[in-house]
Amino acid sequence: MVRFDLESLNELRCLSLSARRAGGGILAKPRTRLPAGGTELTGHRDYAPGDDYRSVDWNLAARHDELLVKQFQGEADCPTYVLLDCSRSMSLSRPSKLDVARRIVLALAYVALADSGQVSVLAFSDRIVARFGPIAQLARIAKLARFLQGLAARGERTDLAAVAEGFVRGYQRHGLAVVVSDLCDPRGFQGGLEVLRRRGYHPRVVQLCDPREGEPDTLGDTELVDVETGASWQVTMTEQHVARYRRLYAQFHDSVRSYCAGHGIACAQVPVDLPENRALLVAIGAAK
Amino acid sequence: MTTTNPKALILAALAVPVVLLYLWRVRPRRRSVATGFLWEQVFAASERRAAWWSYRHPVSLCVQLAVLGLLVLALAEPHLRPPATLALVIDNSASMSATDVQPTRLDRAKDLARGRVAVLGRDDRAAIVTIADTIHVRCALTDRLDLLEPALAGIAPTREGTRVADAVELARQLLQGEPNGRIVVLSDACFDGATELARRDDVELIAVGGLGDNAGITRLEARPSAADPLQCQVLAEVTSYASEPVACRLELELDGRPIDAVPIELDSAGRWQRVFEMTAPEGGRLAARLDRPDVFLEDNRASAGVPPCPAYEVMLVTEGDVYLEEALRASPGVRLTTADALPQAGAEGAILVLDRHVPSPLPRGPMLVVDPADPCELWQLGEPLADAVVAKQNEGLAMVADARLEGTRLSSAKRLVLTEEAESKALPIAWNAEGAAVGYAIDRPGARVVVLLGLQEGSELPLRAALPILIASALEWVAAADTATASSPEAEPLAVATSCAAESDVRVPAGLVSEARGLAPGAPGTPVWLLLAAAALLVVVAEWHLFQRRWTC
Repeated sequence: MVRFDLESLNELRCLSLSARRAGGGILAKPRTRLPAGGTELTGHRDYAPGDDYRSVDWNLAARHDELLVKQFQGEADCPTYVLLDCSRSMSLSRPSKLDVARRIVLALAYVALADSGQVSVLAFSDRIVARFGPIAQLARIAKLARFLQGLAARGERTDLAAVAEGFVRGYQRHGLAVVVSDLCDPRGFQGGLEVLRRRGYHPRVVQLCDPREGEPDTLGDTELVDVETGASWQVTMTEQHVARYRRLYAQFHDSVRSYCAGHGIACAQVPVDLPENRALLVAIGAAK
Repeated sequence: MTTTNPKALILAALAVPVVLLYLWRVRPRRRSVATGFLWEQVFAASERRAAWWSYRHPVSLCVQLAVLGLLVLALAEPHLRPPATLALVIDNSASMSATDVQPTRLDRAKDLARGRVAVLGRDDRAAIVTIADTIHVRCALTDRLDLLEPALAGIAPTREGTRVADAVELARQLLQGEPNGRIVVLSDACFDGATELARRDDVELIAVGGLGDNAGITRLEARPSAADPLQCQVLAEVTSYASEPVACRLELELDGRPIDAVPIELDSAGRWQRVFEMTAPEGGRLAARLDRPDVFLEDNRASAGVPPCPAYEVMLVTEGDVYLEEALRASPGVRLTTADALPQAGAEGAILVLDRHVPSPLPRGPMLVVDPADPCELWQLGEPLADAVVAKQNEGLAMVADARLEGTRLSSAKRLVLTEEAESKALPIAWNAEGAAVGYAIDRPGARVVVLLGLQEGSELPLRAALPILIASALEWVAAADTATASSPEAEPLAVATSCAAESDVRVPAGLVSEARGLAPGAPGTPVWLLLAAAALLVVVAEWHLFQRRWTC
C-alpha cells in the first residue's frame, strides 16, 4: 500500500530537504562536459566527422585555416528514470520488497520533481512491463502513487540486461537511471548496469534486501523453490549448507557495493526491516 | 531361545504405526526463495553423498524397526535356554569309596557335580542331596555358588548303604512347582533298581565307576556260646564279587592279639563262611582283615564287639544249703556272698537268692527263691505236691532252653498258689504229671522273680548238670531286667565294615551312562535384556547421527 496523504506529503517534503542537504544524494546530477549547450566555454577540439556544424568555431577556422569545435561545460537538463523491479522475487519477505520499493520510488520521484527534474518510472521483470511519465510537475505525484499501487509482482525471472537494452532503445535522452531492485538476477546484475553505463546513462542502484533471506532457519529435509524460475531443490539442509549460503549471500551484497564503487555508481542497500522513514532516507542517500 | 515375559512381544505391533508414519512421513518443508542462483551454487559445491544416501529413508525405517524389535525383545527377557532347576543327588554310600576311579568314585561324582554347578546360569538354581542310609539336604535350592561349592566340598564318604528311592522322592519334593526341574543322580548304581532308575524320564542317572572286582567281609558276628558262657562263637563270612577266583587270607585279632589266620579260596562270585570258637570271658574287640588289595578296601576290614561274660553280685540267704551254694558258685560270673538272714539293708545291687525263708513283703530287686516256706504278696502256699517228678518243661521259656529237667525227681514241696497279681505275670518253668507247676518265672515290673520248687534234700536236681545251667539261666533272666546287677560292659554293636553287605558289590551295572550329559551353559552374568537394550540405544544413536542429526526447527 502506497500511502499518499497529507502526512506522507509532509514526509516527502522533509525527504526532499534532506536530499538537498546531502547534495542530492543518490539523485545528484552528474557534471558533464557537453559538446554544445551549456554556458561556459571551456575549450576547443579538432573537428570530427559527424560533429554539429553549429558547434564549429568559424572565427578560429578563418584565422587558423583549420576546423575546431567549441566545448562548453554546465548543468545539463538531466531526466530521471526510475526502473522498478516488479519480478516475483520482490514479493517475498514481510514487508515485501515491492511495497518498500514503491515507497522508495515515490520518494525518489518527489525529490527529483522538487528539483525541477523530469521523472519517468518503468516497471520491469524480465522485460519492461509498465511505464509512467515522464512527468515534470509535483502535482502529478498522486497519479504516480496510483500507478505504483497498481503494480503487482509478476513475470518469469529478472533479466536486468534485457531490461536495460529495452530501456536504452526506448529512451534516447540520457539521464539518471535509478534501478530499484533486489538485483536477484540469475545472469548477474552487472550486465544491466553495464549497458546503462556504456550507453551514456548514469546508473544509480537502490538494492532492497531482506536480512532474513541471508539467515535461513531451515534444517533437515527441505524443498527450496525459486520463486521466479520455479527451479526446486529437494535437499537435506545441513548447517554446512547454511553456512555456505550465508557466505555467498554476503559475497553477493559485497559484490554489489564493490561493483558500484568501482564504477562510480551511487548505491544504497536498504534492508526492508528498517522503519519506513529511515529506509527512505537510506534509499535517497541521505543516511547510511 | 525362550522368553520370561512373552506377553511383551505384543508390543511388536507398534511397528504398524512406525510404518504408517513412514508412509505418511512429513513432506519436505517447502520454502520459496528469491536467491535461487545462490542456492544453486551452494548445492553444486556439496560433497558427493554415499551411494546409499538415495535410500536413506528406507534405511532409516529399517533402523527404526530394528530399534523397536530390540526393545520389544528386551522387554520379553529372552533366555538362551530356559532357567534350569537342578536337584543334584550324590551317592556317598560305602561303595562310593571304591578306588577304581581315581581318587575315589565319590570324588569323581563331586567333580561332575561341580561341573554342573559351574555352568549354572544367572537364573538357574540347584540343590544338593546326599544318599546313604540317611538322606541329607546339603544345600537347599539356590543360585549362589558360594553356598553350593562348599556344600559339595563337605560331602564325606560313609559306611552306609544306599536309599536311592527315598532320595529321589525327596528331590522331587524339593523341585515341586519349580520350572524345568531336573533330578540328576550321581552314583555308582550299586543298588537294586539302578537300571530301572536309569530308564526313567524324570531322573538322569550318571554312573560313576566301572567293573571293580572286589572281595570283602560281609558278615562278622560274635556271641557268647550257649554251651559255655566263658566261650564265644564268631561267625565270619567273606563274599567275592570278582570275575575270577579269589585267594586271600582272613586274619582275626582280639584286642590286637592275633587269634587266627585262615586261607580262603573263593570261586568267582563265591561265598565262604566259618564259625570260630574262642575263649574270651572278658570280651573285647574282635577285628577281621582280608589281606587282598582291591578297589574297595573298606570291606576288607571288619570289627565286632565280643561281649564279656556277664558278672552278677549274688547274695545267698540260706541256713546251709551246700548244693545250692555250690551251684551258685559254679555259675560263670557269679560273685557270691552268703548270709544266714536277710540283712536289714537288703541286697542292694545284688541278686537275692532266698533259700526257703521268704520275707513279706518281698524285697525289691531281682531274686531267686528256692523252695519258699512262707507266703508273700505273690503266692500262698498250698498242699504238698503229690508227684514231684518233672513231667514237662516250658519249651517256650528261654531260661530252660539249655537245661533238661524232664524226668527229674524233685524233693517234696508245697504247691504255690499265685495271687491274681502274680499269676498274670508268671510263666511256669515246668510241670509235674498232675500239671502243677514246679517253678515260676514271675516278671514283676522292675524286678523279676524265679521260684524253684523241690531242691531240698532228696531232690535229684542238685545232682544233675541241669541245676547249674538252670541257676545260671535263672540268674541271667532275673538280671536282664536290672541293668545295675548285670554289670556287663557297654555292648558294642556288631558291625562289619559297612552296615550293608550289599555295598561290597561295587560292580557298576553295564549299559548305564558313564559320563554326564552336558548342561548347556547358562545365561551370562549380564542379563540378555540389558544387552538388547544397550544395542537398541547404540542403534538409536547411530540412526540419529546418520539421519536426525542437526534436525532443529
